[in-house]
Amino acid sequence: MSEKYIARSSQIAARMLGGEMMVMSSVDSTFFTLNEVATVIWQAADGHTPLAEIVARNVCDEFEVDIDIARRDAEQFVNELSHHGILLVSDCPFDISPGPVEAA
Amino acid sequence: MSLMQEMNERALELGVPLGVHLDVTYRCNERCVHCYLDHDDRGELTTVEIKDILQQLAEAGTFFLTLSGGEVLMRRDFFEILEHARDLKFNVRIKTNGVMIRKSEARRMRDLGVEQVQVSIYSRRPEIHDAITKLPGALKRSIEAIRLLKSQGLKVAIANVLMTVNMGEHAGVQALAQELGVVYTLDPTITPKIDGDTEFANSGFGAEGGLPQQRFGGKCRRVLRASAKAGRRRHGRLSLQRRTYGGLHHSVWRCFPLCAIPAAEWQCAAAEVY
Repeated sequence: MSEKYIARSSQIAARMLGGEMMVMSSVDSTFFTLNEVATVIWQAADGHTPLAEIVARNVCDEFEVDIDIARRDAEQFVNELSHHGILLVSDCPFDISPGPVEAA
Repeated sequence: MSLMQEMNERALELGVPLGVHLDVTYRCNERCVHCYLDHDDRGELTTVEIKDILQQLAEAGTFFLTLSGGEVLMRRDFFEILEHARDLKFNVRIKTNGVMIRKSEARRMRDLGVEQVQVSIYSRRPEIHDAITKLPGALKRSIEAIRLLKSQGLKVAIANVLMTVNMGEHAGVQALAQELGVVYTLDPTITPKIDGDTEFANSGFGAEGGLPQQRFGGKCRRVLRASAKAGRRRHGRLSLQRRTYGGLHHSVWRCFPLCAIPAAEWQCAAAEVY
């Protein structure tokens, strides 16, 4: 996995509901619910922590999943959300603060 | 079942007020003949109190937030409230007459990630629209606002409340919406007055033989059935309306106050409702 940084877009709405994160883009109104693992990645998307580190520390350690599978799934998840502008992706850390994690 | 319906069902099971309509003011620069509000300022919630309510709503799980009034932009702190709402990651819709929206306001709404702005239009003919709003030049200014909002890339909807005086205007408003490239929504609801007085709603604003919607054709009846279904649902669990003086209501459509509560006791009251 190449070094990749992810940040939550400011153009979204998000809220926890029954253990799942609801996320909606205000740009194209696409609506997602994130499962427990995806929610962990979402919440860790601070723009400063490399995705590889998020997967290793927040996903593999917490959910006892194989690192290669976790990386592949995380890449797919990030690509899909970035396609809708919900996650911002860069090969260097973001200057901006992604803002507080939404209330659970 | 769509993903959104699933979330609605889950919210229902969990007792989460997924959608909330918040009147931030009753003050308005229009005086619409059918309006259910009085416009005297009898002590609105302060900025701090509204922010506190928003915080509590976020913690309670509210996702969809409609900011309405009165006219929301009559509050000098409206953008401070909006910014706070977006910081809390609500999906925000704004209901406005658009009269006070200029380029800077439109740009700010876009920058803050507002989901949709709904503007009320009663007719594309100024002599009818302005007579209903009792504000000369209102239609021109509202249409200009829609153009500005669209030019900023915002999603805009025209809400067309139909009454006896503008019953024949819906086709014109639909055409206007199409020309402007915005969504058209028909609103057949005349809401009882905020004090619970149903005289105006039941009289149908001059309609003979009951509510004006009873005189609508087949297409409108379908809208009414859908509205009634949604209304029952809202009255049941899914939607709450919080009003600017601190009262808690079941919905816009059922204006009888459940209680009048200070901001700090909002969550307790919500818990009782749910």
